[in-house]
Amino acid sequence: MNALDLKNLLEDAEDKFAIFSDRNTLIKYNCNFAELLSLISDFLTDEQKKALFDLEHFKRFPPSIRAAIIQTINNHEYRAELIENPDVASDFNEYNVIKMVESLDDNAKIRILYNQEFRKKYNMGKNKVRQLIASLSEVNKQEVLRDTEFSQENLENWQIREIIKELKEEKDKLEMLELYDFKDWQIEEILETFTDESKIAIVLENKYGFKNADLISLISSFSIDSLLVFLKDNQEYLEKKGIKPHKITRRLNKEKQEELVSRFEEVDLELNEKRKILVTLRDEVKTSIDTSCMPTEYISAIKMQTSTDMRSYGNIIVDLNGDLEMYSGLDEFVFINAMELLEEDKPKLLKLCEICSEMSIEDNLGLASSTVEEYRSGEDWIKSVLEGINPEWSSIQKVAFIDYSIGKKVSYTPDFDTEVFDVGGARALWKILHSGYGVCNGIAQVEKYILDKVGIEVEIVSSGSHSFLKLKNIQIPTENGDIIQGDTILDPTWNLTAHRYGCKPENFCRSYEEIRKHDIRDDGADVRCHKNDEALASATLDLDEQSLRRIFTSIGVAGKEGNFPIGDLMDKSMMIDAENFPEEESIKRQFSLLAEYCPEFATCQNSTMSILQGVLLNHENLNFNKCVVNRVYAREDEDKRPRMYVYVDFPNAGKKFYIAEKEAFVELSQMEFEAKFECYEMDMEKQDGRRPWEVPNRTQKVEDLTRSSGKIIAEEGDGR
Amino acid sequence: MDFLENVVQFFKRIFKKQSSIKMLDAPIEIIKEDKKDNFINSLKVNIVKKHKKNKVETPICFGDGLGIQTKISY
Repeated sequence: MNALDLKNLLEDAEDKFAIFSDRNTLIKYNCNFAELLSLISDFLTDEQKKALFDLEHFKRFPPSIRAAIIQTINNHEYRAELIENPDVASDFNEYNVIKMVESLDDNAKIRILYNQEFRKKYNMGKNKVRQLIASLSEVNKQEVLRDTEFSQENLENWQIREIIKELKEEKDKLEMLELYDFKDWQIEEILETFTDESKIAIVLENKYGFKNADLISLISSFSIDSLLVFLKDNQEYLEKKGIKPHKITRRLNKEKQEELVSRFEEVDLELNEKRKILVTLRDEVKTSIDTSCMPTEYISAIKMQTSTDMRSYGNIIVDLNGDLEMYSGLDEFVFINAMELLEEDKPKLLKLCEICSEMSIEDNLGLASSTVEEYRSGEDWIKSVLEGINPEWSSIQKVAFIDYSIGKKVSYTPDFDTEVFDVGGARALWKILHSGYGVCNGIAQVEKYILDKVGIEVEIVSSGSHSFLKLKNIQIPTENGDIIQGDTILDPTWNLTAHRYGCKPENFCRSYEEIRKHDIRDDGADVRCHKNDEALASATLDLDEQSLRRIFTSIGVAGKEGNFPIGDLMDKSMMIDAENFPEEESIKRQFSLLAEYCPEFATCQNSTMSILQGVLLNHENLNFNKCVVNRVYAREDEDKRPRMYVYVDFPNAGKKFYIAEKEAFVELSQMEFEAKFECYEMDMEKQDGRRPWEVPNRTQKVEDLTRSSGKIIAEEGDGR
Repeated sequence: MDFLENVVQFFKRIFKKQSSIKMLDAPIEIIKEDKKDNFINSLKVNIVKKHKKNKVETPICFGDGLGIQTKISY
């Protein structure tokens, strides 16, 4: 008997399920699985089909047949139930299971989505979860998304955003934006799918508090129609925000930029801004523009090449030999590394500076640029230094003169390691010369720049925490009058105090061995400021003291005997101390001496601190429980510029505060001082959040050396 | 006569040696006392209590050596 016979039997039978449930009846009929499936589908209800899986002979059917039977069930809940049942589907292959799940209705799919164990068993990862959610109806998608805990656990952030972007209604997307803690750029990405009208409203309201970069990104997603209208109608808004139209248009894709160019006459902006838009078009767009009917101002802008280099991306590649007038108005795109200029190109640069007074002057460090004004004043100063060099001088004399000149001109940035420190500005070459402040690698660059001009071979070396110079193949005199040649170390920044105050420079032409000794603090710690074995192994030349004095005498810095001018200050300071004045009087006299010796003491703060520590406040008769020289800022100063102060806790007079004003130290009461000034956060962090006068004085233990401590082995701090 | 006198002088010298002018011995107790005092005094240490100088505190700056390089000379 065949399938047709079985069909006839089923048609006549009242209890059709009983026939399927009786194996002995079924095996009498010779039908294949497809025929059997057809009969099951036609004659059984969903409940009956489900009940088939309780029968042993159906359980033994191959997985593909069992899966096919499940697919005949109209009730998707039943289907889901069977798929989830390990007794039914445990041997189904992953691919088939997933196909079956995908064919389920929304309710069944959501049931499966929330069955973590099931998903894990069939390796339904985040991608699959995403696909399932995406296949749900709008309403159900939103339901799942509203369960933020589920979504964030089972989807990547970008997948959640993709699903939100696919929602049809903007109001639903907005609702989702409230539920999830997206970053600004992620919100902007979703908003890009809104209509231009909605986007314009969002931009103008800026309820998400976007910074300019995100606003620009959103505006650049407008259609060209909307963009042209927006640029025309919202110039005041853009100006207030500091958003330049060319920053928007440069973000447009190729097609949009081409459309913009084709409608360029509709761009209602000033000529300079329109030229900026043209300069910043993509190269592929520029090359495709038909310039035959364009005004010359547009043509010159289109023909300008811009850099694709990471460091100078978008800057115009300037041709100093061309017509410099064409760069007029394009200052913000004009960057020239003046360190790489040949001497004969310098006049052209100066000419360009006149045309583009807001252009940027770069240096090799490239951390920040100098302005035209800074470049001009810096170069003038360098010129004056070079003119002060006696052409008869040896190389080493020239080095000494240049090092000394820089020490007189530049100070270490007094707001180093504070929250207001300008990382780039303290390193820009001409900015350092103009402002008079810099940090080590900037100052090393300055000195190298000038030494290069007089033909001294020099290399900037870094230890990681500090930068300085290695003079290469330089000739230096020896004690007995010989000349030796080789490499030696010059640290212009560690010499700043010496040159400012007329001390003997300790970091001038030192060997690696010697200069490393300077890295050892009083407590024995090695700060490794000059450590670089690889670069400095060759620096074996060490200038002896006598030769050093002779050199500085010959250039007019040291006296005839080779003594440096600070001797005068030190003598006078000692004489004040020898008078043994009362402590307050004594310190005031030291301060007056300082102001007389170095009128600019308040502006070269680091150097002055060194001198106060090492000379003026370092005397036998000047005793204090604690003395701190540091910096604060005036509370009313928005820029928080550093001001030097001295705090002293005298044994008799108690706590005193002195603030460095332009011409003198001025005493203030503690209340006045605290009312007017505050310490930098970063300085206080070093003292557990306390101001120096809030830190208890360290008590001095007087050791009686005649009494035994009872210890056999000495410990740190034990006097012996 | 002279011979006899010499002999007598000879024997006198022998006996006299024993009772020749003796240097007075220094009193032993006093000598001992001096030596003891000298010894004790040699052990004493003069304690001069010196006030330890506090150092001016400044920030530490690797860039220009503030707080690190201390040598200032002419």
